[in-house]
Amino acid sequence: MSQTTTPQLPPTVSESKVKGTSPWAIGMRKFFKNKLAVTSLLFLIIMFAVSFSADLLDTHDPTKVDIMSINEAPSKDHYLGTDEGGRDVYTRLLHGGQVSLTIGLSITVLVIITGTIFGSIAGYFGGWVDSLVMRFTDYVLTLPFLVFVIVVKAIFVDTGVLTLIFVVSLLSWGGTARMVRGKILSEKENEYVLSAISIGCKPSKVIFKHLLPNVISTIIVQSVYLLAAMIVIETALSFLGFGVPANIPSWGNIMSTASTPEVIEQQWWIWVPAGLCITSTILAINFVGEGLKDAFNPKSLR
Amino acid sequence: MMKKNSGIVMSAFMALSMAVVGCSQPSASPTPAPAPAPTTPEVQPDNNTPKPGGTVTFAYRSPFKGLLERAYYEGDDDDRILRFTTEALIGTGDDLKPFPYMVDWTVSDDKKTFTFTMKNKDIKWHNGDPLTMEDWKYALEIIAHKDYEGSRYSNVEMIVGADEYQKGTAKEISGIKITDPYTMSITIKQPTANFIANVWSYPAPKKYYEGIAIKDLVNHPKVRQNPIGTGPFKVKKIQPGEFVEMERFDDYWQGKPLLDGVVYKVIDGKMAASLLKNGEIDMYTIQNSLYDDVAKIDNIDLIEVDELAYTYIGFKMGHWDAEKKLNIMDRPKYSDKRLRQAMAYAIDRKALAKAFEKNKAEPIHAPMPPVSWAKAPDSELNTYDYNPEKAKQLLDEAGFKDVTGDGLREDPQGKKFTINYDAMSGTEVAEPRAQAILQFWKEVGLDAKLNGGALKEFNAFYDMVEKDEPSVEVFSAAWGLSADPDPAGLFKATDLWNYSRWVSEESDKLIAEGVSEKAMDEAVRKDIYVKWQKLVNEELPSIFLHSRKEITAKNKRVQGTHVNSASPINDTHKWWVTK
Amino acid sequence: MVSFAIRRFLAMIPILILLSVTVFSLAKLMPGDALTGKIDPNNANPEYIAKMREQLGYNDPVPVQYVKWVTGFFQGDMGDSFVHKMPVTQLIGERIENTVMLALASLLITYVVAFILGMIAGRWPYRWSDHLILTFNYIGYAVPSFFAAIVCIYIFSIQLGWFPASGSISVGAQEGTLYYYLERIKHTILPAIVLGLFNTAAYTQFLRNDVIENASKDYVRTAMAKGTKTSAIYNKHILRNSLIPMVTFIGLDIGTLLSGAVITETIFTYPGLGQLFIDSVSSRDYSVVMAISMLLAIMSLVGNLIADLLYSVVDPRIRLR
Repeated sequence: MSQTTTPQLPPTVSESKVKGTSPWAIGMRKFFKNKLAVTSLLFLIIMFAVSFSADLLDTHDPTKVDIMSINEAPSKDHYLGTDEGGRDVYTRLLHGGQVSLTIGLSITVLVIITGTIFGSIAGYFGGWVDSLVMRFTDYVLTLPFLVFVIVVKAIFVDTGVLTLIFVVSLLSWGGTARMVRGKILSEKENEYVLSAISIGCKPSKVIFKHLLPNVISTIIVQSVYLLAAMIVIETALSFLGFGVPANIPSWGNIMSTASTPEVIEQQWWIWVPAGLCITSTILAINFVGEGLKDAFNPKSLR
Repeated sequence: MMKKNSGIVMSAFMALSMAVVGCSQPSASPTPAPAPAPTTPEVQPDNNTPKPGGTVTFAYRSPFKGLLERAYYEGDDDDRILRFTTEALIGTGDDLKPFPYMVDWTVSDDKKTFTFTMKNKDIKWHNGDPLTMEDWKYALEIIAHKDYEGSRYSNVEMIVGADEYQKGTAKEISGIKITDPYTMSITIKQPTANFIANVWSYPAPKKYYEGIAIKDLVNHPKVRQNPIGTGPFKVKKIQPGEFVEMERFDDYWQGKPLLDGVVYKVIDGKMAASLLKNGEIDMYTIQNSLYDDVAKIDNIDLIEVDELAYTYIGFKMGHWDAEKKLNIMDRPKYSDKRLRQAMAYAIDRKALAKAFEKNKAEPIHAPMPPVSWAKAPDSELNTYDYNPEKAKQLLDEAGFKDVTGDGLREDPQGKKFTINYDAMSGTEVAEPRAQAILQFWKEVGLDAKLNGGALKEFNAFYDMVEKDEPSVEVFSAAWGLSADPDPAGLFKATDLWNYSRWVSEESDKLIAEGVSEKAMDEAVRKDIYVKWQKLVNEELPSIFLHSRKEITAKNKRVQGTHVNSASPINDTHKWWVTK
Repeated sequence: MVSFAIRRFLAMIPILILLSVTVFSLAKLMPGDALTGKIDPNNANPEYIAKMREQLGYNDPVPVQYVKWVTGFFQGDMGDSFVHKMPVTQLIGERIENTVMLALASLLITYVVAFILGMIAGRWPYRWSDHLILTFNYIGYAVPSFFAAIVCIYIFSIQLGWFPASGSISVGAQEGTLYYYLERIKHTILPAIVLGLFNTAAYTQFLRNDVIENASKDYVRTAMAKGTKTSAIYNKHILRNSLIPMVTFIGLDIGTLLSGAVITETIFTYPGLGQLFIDSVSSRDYSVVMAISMLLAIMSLVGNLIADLLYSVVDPRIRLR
């Protein structure tokens, strides 16, 4: 059940101050001991690999309409039947995965980069820079997500996938910025950072060399959850007609066919495969996220 | 004559504020039907005798606005409520011709003055006030008033003195005269064949509205919460956006209605089949995509009528000069008639109807729906049956040949030729339908693509089409029609809504003739319109696609209903239920 | 505390101005206007449409339109809805009650479910119950809400007939009667569950992690050492400490919930602000679109403020920043 703002899990308050071996190495070791997380990661790798080789695995043209074979049940010719345009569901599922995952990934990358930049600037410089950046962040966070995506999507007539990625990213980086700022603020108080500043290190160097590496684990965890959230958001927006344009297959577009009880009841081949793909991908992403969080958290019980 | 149809619903579950004709509407089987027969009244065979009692739930798929005064309502949502509670003095028959319902009329020798007399002098409003000609006059005055914010002035402006009244230079509309409470005459500016069909004939309760300034009327509780009419049912409770509860009006002039009441309910269209099945709603005009699902339900009857609408693919051939208020034909890309005809031959409209309209749509060949009495018989028209060979031949003749050898034709100058096609998003089949049309053109060697790579949302689509955006070349849309066949408004050189910007002197002349004094003879009028349809059919400023069937689902327990092309709600005082 | 509140409040003002500019420009940038849908030679003509455009001020210079709108808005006049032909304030007034009721009900569901599941998962982490709850949460989170809504209606309304499929009230229910209120609740439950369960995953996980963390804190160890019963430690000490941060999220939720209602309301034909918003976007009823966007933005702004204030009560250090 998806809606509205980027449903980030509230960041945990505790933070790691690991000494000795690099926290990365410890984290990775811990992560790979977590069977559920590793299995999920494997599953995701397969899912991505399959989706991104859609062109090799498909059996039909994903947009080719065949008005002579509409809503057909699965057969030898169409492994997962056809949809309301006589298009091959199996083919669309593969290409849809590619589109949905690309959208999820792109938004995540954009959000993380933007959020990190704004967050670290605000956190590092403090003072009026902090106030200015954070008030702007507040403003972005205040925009009701769904409402604004709908309005913005109504404005751009020739909306393609790029607009969607851009709009969603624009509205979603606020949470990340806040979180990064908070982390930077607390890291900044550490002596090694203070001394780095006092010997006249350039701000960019301090941020990149000393601050971000200590924040990176949190950012990674955050981005994993974001990825899941963005895939869910794509499906919701596409259903409302404000997501991926109808001529481009995506998981959301395929799912939105299942909008009447009759289709749900009688044409399982259209929505069950897409539904399973979405659900299992989201689950796997979240398990990986949990695994990473545990791995990077020195206080975790394992 | 017509209203713009989106053919879409923005996001599948929300209907627009206007009558929406879905892209996916079913229609009668395309057996070689003996020329589109006019719709016959769909009176249900009564298995047993009508009996009083019970209520019927009538459903609609978008929230109503609650503008429950005829002079102000806009969409089908409010119209369907008003159909139970109000009535027009002049009726519209199943053949879409006006007939004397509550009033009779005579015409003066100069064909300018119409004298109306009330057939029944004992008609009452829901509050007990008698209905008189004052109420009709008052309705016309509301619409002609300078503070009136509704859109109906075009139904009044033909009356002598309406313009002066609207400007405030006259206290009365001079063309309206009441001789006694049941007789009124209306004088019009010039003899017009379709005056009776066009004049506003819904009375407004003058006494009930007394003391309300026109500017306050639209949002007055007497319109919003306690509206009255003369129809068989009166409003009992309005739950904004959800339902309207109506109860029997015992003093109805055609006798006490059989039903105790009617509930008008807003539902999510996607749930319609399920709600019909479990009896939660009794009557509903289905989206045609649901046809197969609803047809399977045992307790449901399906009533098909021709829809007063058609779909078309327009060619942009010019632009609208806003200064001169004139269409200028200055875009040559599609000016070759053979190209337009070839593009029509290339499309298999029957296959499209089968695939996306559940076979519930008929191909049309001129912009007149099969239900209209003015429709030219198919034998008089070129039917542009699917014929890709003929299309290729026409293209060859016109010089559209493949000179580069890539399988796609170039234009006569040998330059790359690509059709830029626009269509609206909204229904589930909008996308495959657009792709199918592009594929048809590609099959005859014409390169075609979606303008901007995607379908457009309703508002954006019409915004671009109306403003003649340079990228708009070929666009798929729909028009909803009114009962009168006059094509003015959509085809003249001076019509903003002539979106093709196609200008023809002959067409303009025929359209003017169609409403002239000599066209007051119906046979003459039909002749004129047949001539006009032949012209349009040959020139093909648009490819006319389909006219669909409108399908109303009805629980078998509901009897005595009467569905026609104008509305699924007629003669509601005769409705009854078996249990 | 007071000065902090005032500071935060003053900081809202530039955001508000920025918001109003954003909302206004976005609305104006939407293609078409409220008259686009009125192209209907049956009932209107181009002259009428041109006249209305003039009358509605669509032809005024944009800055003039903005100033007119924004001054009206902050005086409580949100203009008239062109489609509904009534003041927007009145229109929103008719709908807001439903949306607030839906939001409160789903908030309640979110917190109750998250509380129970989070406590169980946190008390016995890494056990089967923890994994089960985690899986349950993420499935609820991964299923698109529109799909969940349709399935819920199909099962609970159509097949089982337990809840109504649409609307906020039944025909015939008289306001003020007990039956009326019961009906209201009955109509709200299904959409509230669909809306509410979405947030549950995040909250459950938060509570779980917080409980686990608190369990390793000194005060718990001390209590343990003193021989306090484990259940008492969890139910009293840890619970109290973990709940406080969760409460502060309520503020953040207000905005989210209200706009989250868009999908749920449309599918359940539940006449609230979300449904009105979608309808108004498609009919380009600007004044309504702007009013609802603005209202939701202000709600989340106020929500954030409340969250901050609550948090500063809980953790006074924050006031210093």
